Amino acid sequence: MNGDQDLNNSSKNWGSLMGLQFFLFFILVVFAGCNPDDQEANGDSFDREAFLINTADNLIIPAYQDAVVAAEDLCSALYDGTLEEARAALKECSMKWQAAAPFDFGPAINRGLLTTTNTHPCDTTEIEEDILDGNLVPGLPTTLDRTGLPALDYLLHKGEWNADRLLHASYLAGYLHDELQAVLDSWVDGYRDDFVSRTGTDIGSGVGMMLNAFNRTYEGNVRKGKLGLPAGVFSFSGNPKPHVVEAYHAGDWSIELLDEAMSATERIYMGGDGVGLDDYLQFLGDVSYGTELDAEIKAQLAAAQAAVLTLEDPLSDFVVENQPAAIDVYSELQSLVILFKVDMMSALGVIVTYQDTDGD
Amino acid sequence: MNIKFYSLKGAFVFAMATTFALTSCNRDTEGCTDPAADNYDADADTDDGTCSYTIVAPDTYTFTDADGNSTVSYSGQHQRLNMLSEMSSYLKTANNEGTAVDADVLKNMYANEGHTWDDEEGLGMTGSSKQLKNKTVGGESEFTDIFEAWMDEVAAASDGSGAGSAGVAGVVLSTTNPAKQYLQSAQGQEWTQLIEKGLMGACFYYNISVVYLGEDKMNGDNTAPEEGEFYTEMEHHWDEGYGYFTTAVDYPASGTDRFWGKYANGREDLLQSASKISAAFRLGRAAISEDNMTVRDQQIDIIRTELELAAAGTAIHYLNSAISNFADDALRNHALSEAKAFMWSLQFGENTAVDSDMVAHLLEDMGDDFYAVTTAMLTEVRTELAAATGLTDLADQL
Repeated sequence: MNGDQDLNNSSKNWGSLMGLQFFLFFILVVFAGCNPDDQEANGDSFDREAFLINTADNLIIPAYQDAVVAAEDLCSALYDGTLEEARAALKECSMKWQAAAPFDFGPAINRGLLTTTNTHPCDTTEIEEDILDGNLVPGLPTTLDRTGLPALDYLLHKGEWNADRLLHASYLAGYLHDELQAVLDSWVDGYRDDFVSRTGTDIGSGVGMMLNAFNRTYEGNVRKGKLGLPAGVFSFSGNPKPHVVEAYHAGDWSIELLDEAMSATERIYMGGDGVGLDDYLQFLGDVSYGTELDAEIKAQLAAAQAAVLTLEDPLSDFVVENQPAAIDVYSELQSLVILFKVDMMSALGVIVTYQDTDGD
Repeated sequence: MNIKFYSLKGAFVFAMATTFALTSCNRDTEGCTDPAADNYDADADTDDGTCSYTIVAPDTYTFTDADGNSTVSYSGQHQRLNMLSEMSSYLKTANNEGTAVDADVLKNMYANEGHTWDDEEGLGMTGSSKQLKNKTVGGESEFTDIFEAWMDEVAAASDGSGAGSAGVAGVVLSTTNPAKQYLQSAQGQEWTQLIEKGLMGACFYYNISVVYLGEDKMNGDNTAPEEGEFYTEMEHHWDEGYGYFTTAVDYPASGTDRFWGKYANGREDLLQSASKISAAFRLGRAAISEDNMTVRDQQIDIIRTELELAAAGTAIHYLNSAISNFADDALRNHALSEAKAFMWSLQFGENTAVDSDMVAHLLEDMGDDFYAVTTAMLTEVRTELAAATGLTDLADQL
């Protein structure tokens, strides 16, 4: 509820005594209602609205716009291009997705965008059946590994390219595009304003939602999904799982995607060219360990990005032939989890909500 | 000591009413006509509902008579909460492949027939007359049959259970949290949650909201202690309602480990459920001891409303959890089973925003097959439930 609107509405009744009473009453309400989002009440006076506006307008919305354009190009390439052109368009779309993936909250999570767009490995047996029977219902828990970029990766790189595969690939690309477009539309048609108005640091605040999604996707989808799982860090046997790498079927751009995801991580941290998390930590200064933490994060971002470049595609071969080297790189990615999720979140006073705290 | 005077809000309303009264002079003299109230107006001839009272709620649920004897007793509720705790623990053993639970054991626990309880607190549960079954919506078979059918189903599925997946009942392992695994039906329904949270609704919530805070029980005598006891009949009924909420006198300092005490506390940050409900129970009980039915009835309204909000808020919380863990079959199905049971429970309250038709509608929209839901379906259910309970602004935060 917006206090200004109440004032405007009530001023229409200015001439009456009742109107005046309501006016005074609302003044009272407005004053009383200020506290929850009061900047001082949250322990610091950092301009979180400016931070949220920059995040929404210069990072989130452009990321979805770029991904939508790339998905359109993929659809076009499938419609009237060569297979090589379609593959190039898929790679570009996969690259653009990396910048949008970390914003898995609000419209994106309500639509399940992350899960329908990039659940890997894909189920190649089911995809072959989908090609033949056309019975795919996207968005169900049982079909998440049959849609999105990984399914397209399979279709465009494995099996004999034919009209049936083209038809199914076009359907999947269209679905991918429509989901991205729907999320972009939600952001533009209202959610952006809602997001930037939530200037607190509590659970439902813009900062709270965005940082939880940022940490959760970095930890689960980048660190673990793109490298930790294939390198065998999470397998009971300790053996690598080469087939779970992202873009497994293309084979030669898994590391480019990881590198791009790390660049997106850095861009979000830096706020692009605007107000970012780095500024937020700097603002908190030495008292809250902010200045030193900012330096540590920047150094570790650089170290992690340098480490990623020591990997070689195909990553599915690399994790088997050089597993210890892959695990070393994973350790560099893991160090960032500690800095982001433990140190940064506590410095900013934002609660990590995505851990399961339910005892049963 | 944290003393809360009830009169503050009343005084504010009174001030507002005074302002309005000034603008309209031709009416009867309105005001508080109750001589027991702080703001009793001897000139008033029409009560305008502004009476306010200074009743002090104690910090903990501790009440004594003039001789210092405790007047609080809810031992029967304590036994029933412990029975459900033991039943839940037993059900959860089936979360391991090949570990069977026995339907007869479950039904004997439910009806407290020939079952030997662990009874770690020494409450005398074994062979006692207390049971969950005859307190499940008054023991109506329409509802007790549902629970016993679930007990048959979980026993059958647990016997020789293997790995579960879409279309196959069995133990489903979380893909994101290795510590989590649950026995679920072929459609992803987790009986343990349906039974435990379902009984929180059909037994505990029903008995608080409908029975003990209901007219019959609240018409009980409040003039003298019951024979051989230190409490009046009405005081005792109120305590029995409290005992179904929590058995901890110092809630929410403790008592947040199970059932409504746990889930109300889980909604404390956003809905202040734990503090509102516990304060209303303490203030209402103090009002009864001072024979002030106006304040008591106000607390009944608060408890009923806030319990429903805690249940609805918890259902929304689990819908959000299912959306967040959508790709993880075990966690999604677990969260949806919780959400379903809390939504189902909403029909068992008195004077509530959500009635049984609304509950049926919500559950139909969610569907029975948790492997066949979409995030769009779940957000739709969330939107409907939040709108019905006034939680729209908090729906994505719960």
